Amino acid sequence: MRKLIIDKTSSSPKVILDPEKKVYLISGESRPPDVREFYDQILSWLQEFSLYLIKSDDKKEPVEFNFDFEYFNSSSGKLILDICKVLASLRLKGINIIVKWHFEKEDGDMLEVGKEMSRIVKFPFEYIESESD
Amino acid sequence: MKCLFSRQTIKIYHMPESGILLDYHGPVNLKVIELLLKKLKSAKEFKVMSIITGKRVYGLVVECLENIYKNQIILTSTGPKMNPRISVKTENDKIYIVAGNPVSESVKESLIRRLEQINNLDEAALKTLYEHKINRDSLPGENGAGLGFIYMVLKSENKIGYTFEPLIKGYLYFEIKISL
Repeated sequence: MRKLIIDKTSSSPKVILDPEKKVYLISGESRPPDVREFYDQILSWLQEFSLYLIKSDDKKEPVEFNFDFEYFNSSSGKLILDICKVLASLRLKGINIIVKWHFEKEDGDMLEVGKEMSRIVKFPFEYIESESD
Repeated sequence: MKCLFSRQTIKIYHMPESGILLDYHGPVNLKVIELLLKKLKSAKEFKVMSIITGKRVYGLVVECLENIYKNQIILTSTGPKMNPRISVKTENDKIYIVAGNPVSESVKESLIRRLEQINNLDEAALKTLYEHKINRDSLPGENGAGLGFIYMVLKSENKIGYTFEPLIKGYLYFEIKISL
């Protein structure tokens, strides 16, 4: 299974989706110039990854996705929710998906949006608080 | 985006007067957006904001700039309001964000309809509308999620003020004012 690595820019997040190292992370700021194009590459990768996981012998092995956003714009929010929908559907198929939603200690908005997304996709997230810089 | 303004000098006015974080008049492209956001973050008034307020102001400015960038139109006539504008200032413990740009007269009614609909919803109804919009499939040709104005009201916890002023025939200057 190939990995997907995208470097962080001033307007787009760092993406590490690496099955070999078992690291699945999207972090930073998300307001890419073409939001659809940016997230389509992640959603396409997730489709491949879904097939790979479903064919896997060990569905109980945890797959931990980390969302660690400083900020994302409203257009990105829609596509991040699409990612969460794919992860929720994998969970329903018996894959041991865990979603960790990171937020800065004083950023109640980021915590709230994580809870909203979790509620919409009917998938309980874990919330990880970090100290503010 | 219909088209970009062209060949105009990019100037960013970071006013020395107390309380003005940003005041920019001019064309908006991706490079300008980056410069303006960098200026905003470096403003001393921004640095003293709480994390949640700073992120809200930042998010609101991003939404305003992206709206301008996606919807701006070329007007070859000269005049004080032929260019987009964005300003951020603090006054009496409130923060005001003003964003404006020329629009075709033909979009006036639909903008008023959308803004009035959003301005007249309470928080619960706004969240329901937000959830409906974020959860639906994108329509062909959409250049955004249609969430911008809803996001602005939810994050500012205030209605969006707006005006339309006549420019040249067929065009208006559309300006929104957000306070938080």
